[in-house]
Amino acid sequence: MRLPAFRGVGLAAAILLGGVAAAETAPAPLRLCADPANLPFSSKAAGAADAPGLYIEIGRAVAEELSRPLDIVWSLSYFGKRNMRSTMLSGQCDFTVGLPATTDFMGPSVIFSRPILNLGYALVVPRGHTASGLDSLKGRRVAVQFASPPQSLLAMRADITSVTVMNPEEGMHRLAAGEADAAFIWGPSASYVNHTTLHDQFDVIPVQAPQMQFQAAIGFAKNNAALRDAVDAVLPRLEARIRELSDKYTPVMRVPPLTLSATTRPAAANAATQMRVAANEAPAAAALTQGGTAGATKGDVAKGAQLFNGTCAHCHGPDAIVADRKLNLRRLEHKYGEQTEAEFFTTVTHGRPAKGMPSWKGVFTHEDFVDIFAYLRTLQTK
Amino acid sequence: MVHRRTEYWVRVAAAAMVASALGTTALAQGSTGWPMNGNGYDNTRYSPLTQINAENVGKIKLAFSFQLGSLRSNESAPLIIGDTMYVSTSWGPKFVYALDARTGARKWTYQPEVAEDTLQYACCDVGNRGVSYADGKIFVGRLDGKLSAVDAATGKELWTSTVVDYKQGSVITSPPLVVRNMVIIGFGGGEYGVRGSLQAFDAATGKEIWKTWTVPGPDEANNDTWKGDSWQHGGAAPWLIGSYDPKTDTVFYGTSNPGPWNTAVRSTGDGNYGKLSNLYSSSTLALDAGTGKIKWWVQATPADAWDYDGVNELVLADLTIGGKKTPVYMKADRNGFFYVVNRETGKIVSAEKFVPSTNWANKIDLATGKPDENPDKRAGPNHPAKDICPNLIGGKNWQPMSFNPKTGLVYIPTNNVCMDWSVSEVNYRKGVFYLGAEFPTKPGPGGYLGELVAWNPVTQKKVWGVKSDLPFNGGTLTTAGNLTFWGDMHGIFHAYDAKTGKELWKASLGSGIGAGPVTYSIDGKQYVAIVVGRTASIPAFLGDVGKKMTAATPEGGAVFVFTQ
Repeated sequence: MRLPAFRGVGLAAAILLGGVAAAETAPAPLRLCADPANLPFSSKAAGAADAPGLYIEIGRAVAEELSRPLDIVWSLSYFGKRNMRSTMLSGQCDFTVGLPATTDFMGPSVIFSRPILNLGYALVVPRGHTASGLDSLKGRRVAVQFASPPQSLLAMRADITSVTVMNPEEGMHRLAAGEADAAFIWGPSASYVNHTTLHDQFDVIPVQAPQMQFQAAIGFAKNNAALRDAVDAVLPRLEARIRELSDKYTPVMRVPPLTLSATTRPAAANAATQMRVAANEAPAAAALTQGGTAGATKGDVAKGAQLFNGTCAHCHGPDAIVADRKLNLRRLEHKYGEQTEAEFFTTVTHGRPAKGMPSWKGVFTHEDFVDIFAYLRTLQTK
Repeated sequence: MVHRRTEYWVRVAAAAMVASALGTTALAQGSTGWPMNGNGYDNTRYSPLTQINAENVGKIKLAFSFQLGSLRSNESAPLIIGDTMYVSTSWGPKFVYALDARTGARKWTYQPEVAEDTLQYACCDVGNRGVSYADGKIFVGRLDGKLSAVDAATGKELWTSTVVDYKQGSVITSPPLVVRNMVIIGFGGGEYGVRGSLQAFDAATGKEIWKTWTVPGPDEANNDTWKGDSWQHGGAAPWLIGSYDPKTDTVFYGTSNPGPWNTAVRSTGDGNYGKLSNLYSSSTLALDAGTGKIKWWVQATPADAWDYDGVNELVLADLTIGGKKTPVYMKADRNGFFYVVNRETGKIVSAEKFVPSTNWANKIDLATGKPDENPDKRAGPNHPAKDICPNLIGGKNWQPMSFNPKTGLVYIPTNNVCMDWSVSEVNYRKGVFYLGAEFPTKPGPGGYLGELVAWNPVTQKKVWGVKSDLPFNGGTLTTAGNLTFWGDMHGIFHAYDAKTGKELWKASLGSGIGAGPVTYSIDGKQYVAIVVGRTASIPAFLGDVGKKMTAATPEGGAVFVFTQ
């Protein structure tokens, strides 16, 4: 419980420093999960201040649009899923830009915004070289990433020589060094290296085929649906900005895509393995903290659930299920009986600083508290 | 055991070799240590000690326990040298402790400067399986790809050498094998694009003596078992412990599965792999100790499509087969078959299913070593496969088995878990989406997920078994006192009658057990020690089965020592 408690203390400190009035206008920071060394997507390096990466800048734009300050929580993403489990899904950060927009990726633990970017593999050839399809690569040496769909695809072609690389950067460098005639690698990275270090010597041509193009979204932990909905609500306003940022980091991607014919489909592709984009429901609630105006007297259980799982669940557990008895809000009535309601409102508005529970006055409205309480009422153990 | 090179050996190690390799029980009941991970070069995990035995084990009590100060995947087999216990922890290791093996009083603590970001690169958790001892030094394999030598008397670091760049997904979790002045070690990461190797370092200086790639390069034999340039990232990493036969001066190591998972990249993509068998992946290698040169190999799973990593330990013994004393190694392979192989010739004596649900192959051709595959169970491009047994953790994983020359039985911690396999899932690594393999876990048939199996390696038949509702249970120890010790994922430490499997004693130790127990005697008093602290990363691969594993016990990290 150390981390959530720490977070609570931080919040309480903010309230103390700024006074009550300031607290009402100083919402908690949005915490972006990002890799410290993953350009063009994200970089912590001081030298990257002007161009900290596409995902960082998108994260900033989202936070700005939500009028919340942005904190960046850095962690290496060598193994993407494990990194998600130990950061976002452990409550260490709130959102990750650039996850595959598919429930196949860590669903249902991770939920997604609407798709924000199209990303995919690209064929990289010397500028002006025409690539009409895989047949035009016959007899050539083509750099492919270890364990990638292009590697699988070329494995089925005896007439093309694969040059295996461990990452797209190595692919570009081997291409530039003449160790390969073309590269069939992750497009955004290829484009970035091409532009920043190889003077745009190459054309980076997106490849349209199954398993080659993906939609990327912003990901959240499943108990953070309220934030997801809030982000979804502002994304339409950010479309142009995101396009601009995408062009900034992957500038030569606007060439006509190469479509591979059915006969050259990736070997692993079949109906069951087609990319499925998560069906994002229309956002239910636009605002994160202004909800709960309906049913103010009795409380809106659904809204309360959303608020609870978006914030309180950090310490008190998703759906108020938590191992530590002291934090178990399902035992409120058992513990406080007729005093439950009074105890609830006193605690949320005054906090219990010694135990790590901050005051949420000024963060949530009275209506929010009513909704949360209405939700908790439905969960009490008999 | 008269041998010209004895002077290079640790005296205690040699003594244990005599005892365990030859099955003698005549060893003086004074002080008997546990000098190597498997109690000797033969990895039998057999002790001739009899003070604690089937008659009196029910009365053993805690002598001491010691908190390791590091949680999860504590897999160390403590060493006992003289009156000192050397035990390492998870996370790097975070600590190596020297303790008074009678009382648990701490003599020193070594805390290597292990890089902080190793979790990112450790595929299968931050475990550590122990350290090695020779010539007054403790040798420590580290998660950050380094090998350190420490003064056994003081805990002072003597040298540190880099074995491998851990940032390519290659971590070291097992102790090295020390032969003469050579500290021999490999590393993990078979499916993450590494090319496996074994390296020998000079025990005195940490300088490299030899290096043998476990995937042959273009000017070496068998490079043509790989398609295109796939050998460069072929895996076949030897990451567990090795064995050594002084008679033939041969080092034995198992090698991991090949990479990538899509077999079409490195082979034909189906069961007609022909020459493209991806040597020396999923194999046992016999190497000349002095030069590291590969003498011969036995490949258990050619062109592996199931993650049947072949690293499991090689247990050396002389078995009477058909009336003839035969020098063999025994291996309970991940692929579900128990191999008995003549360790001087490499000829397979027998290979039978030790996990009955094994269905990817019907049998092993003893002459060629080739499995008679079930084509329905080999997943490949456009060919997902269902209900494959064993699953990717294998019929047996790294947890060590033991061999008791008195009962003639091998005590194997087995898994009964199956899987579906397809190459389909959209994954994500370092900014790139790519196809990963998907392998939903399914419980094996029969209503159990693991079993301690007492196996007769001569008849290749099960003699007794103890079923468990969880897989991935701990290693075993067996003694001349007709005992077999085994810890499980529930954190229960058991003692059984080695002949009959009757449970004689147990204790609940609070966290799941993966390590193998050890036993030793000091001043005429016998002790049994076990490290506890369950894995945290492995369950993440195993869906609902994994949830049961983590629900069974909290993470932990402690050594418990019992005596009469």
